[in-house]
Amino acid sequence: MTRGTAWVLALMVMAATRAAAAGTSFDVPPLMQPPVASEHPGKLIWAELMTPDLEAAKRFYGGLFGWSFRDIRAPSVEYSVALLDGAPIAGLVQRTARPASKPQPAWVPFLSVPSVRAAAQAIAARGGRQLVAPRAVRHRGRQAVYADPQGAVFAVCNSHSGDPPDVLAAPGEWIWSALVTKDPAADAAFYHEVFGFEVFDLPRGARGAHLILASEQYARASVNPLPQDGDVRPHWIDFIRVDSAADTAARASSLGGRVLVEPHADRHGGLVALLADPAGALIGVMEWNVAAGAGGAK
Amino acid sequence: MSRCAGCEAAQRRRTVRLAVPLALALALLAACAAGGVGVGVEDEYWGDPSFDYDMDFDAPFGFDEPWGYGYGGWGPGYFVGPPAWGHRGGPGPGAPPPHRIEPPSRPLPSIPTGRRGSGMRGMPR
Repeated sequence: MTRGTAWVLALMVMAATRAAAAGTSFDVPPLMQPPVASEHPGKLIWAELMTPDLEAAKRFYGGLFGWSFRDIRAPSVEYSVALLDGAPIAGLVQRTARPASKPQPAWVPFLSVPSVRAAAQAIAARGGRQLVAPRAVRHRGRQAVYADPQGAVFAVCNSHSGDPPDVLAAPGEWIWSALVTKDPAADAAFYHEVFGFEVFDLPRGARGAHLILASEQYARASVNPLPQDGDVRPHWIDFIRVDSAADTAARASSLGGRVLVEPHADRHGGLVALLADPAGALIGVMEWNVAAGAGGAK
Repeated sequence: MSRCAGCEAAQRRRTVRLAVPLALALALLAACAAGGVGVGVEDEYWGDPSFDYDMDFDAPFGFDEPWGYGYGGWGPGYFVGPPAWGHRGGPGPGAPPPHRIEPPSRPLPSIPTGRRGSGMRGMPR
C-alpha cells in the first residue's frame, strides 16, 4: 500500500466515524429559530423532566397541555422534545432507576445566563454543588446542572440562538417558578449573587419570608419557606400557564396524575394548583388573567 | 495533429490520482461540518459538543430518594405566585436579610405581560 493510499483510507475512516457519530448524537433543537440576539439572564428558558416512564409522561403532558412530542436519538438515553404549536417547550428524559433505589422524578428548570463559565465559578464560590459539568450541546448552547447551597437542583443555559422573548406566556408555556427552601433569605442571596437578580421583599408569611427575584425589571421567580416541616428537601416548582386551573387539575386526575395542592387563589389573583404526574414529578399550573395583570410589566 | 496515446493515458492517471484524494478530503470536510466540528478559541474550554445525555437519577444529581409530598402547609396565606401589577413589597419583621433588598417604595415588578412580537420560539429543525 502506498503512502498516498494509506492517507486516503485514513481519511475515509475518519469521515465514516464522524458521520456515524453525527447520526446518533444528542441533537436538541435550538431554542429560537430564527436566532435572536436577545438574552434574558435569570429567565426560565427550558426545563427537563427526569422520568422512569417516558411514554406515560408524554400521554400525561400531551393530554394536559396540548403538547406534542418529537423523539430524538442519543446513544444512551430516550429523550423527547415537547412542542407547543411546533415550538420546543421542554425535554422529557427517560431514566431507569437503579435496583432498590426510589428516585424522585422531577422537572429541572434551566435559567438563562450570559456565560456558563462565569456562572459555574460564581456558583462554586458561593456554596453551590456541580451535578453535571458544563458542556456544549449542539444547536442549543452551553449548559450545566447544579444544586444550590440548600440542595435545590437547577440548571443554567447560554442559548446559542438567543432566549425566548419577554412576553406573556401563552397557555401551555412556562410562566413562573417558585423555590421552596429552608432559608429563603439565604437562598435569595445565593441567586442574587450568581444571577444578579434584584430581590424584593414581600409581607412575611406564617412560615417565614417570601421574596421575589427579578431581572430586567421583570419578576422571574419567588423564594418561599418550605410549606411543611419534616423531611422535605428544597426544590424548584415550575408553573405552566393554563386557562383554568380547576379544569386542568380535574384533567390531571383523569390522566393518571394527582392533585397535591387544590386550585386556590394566589397573590396575583389567579388560581394556582400543584400536580404530580403519573410518576410523581411535580408541576405547577397557574392562571393569569390578562385584565388583572394588565398595566404593563415594567 | 494527433496526440500520443501514451501521453493521454498518463495525463488521465495523473488527473485521477489528484482528483480522488481531493474528493475524499472534501467529503471529510463536509462530514466534519455536519458533525459540528469546528473548534474556535472559546470552544477550546468545552471541547466537542456532547453526543450524549449525561443527567441521571444518580446520587450526585440529588434524585436518589423521594422528597415526599410535604405540602400540608400550603393553604390560605401561603403564596408563591407573582405579584400583580402595582403591588408593593415591604420589609418583613426579623433580622435583615443577608442581601440587598430593593426599597419598599419601589413597586414590585410583574411577570412579562407584553404581546408576542416577531420573536419566534425555535421550530423543530
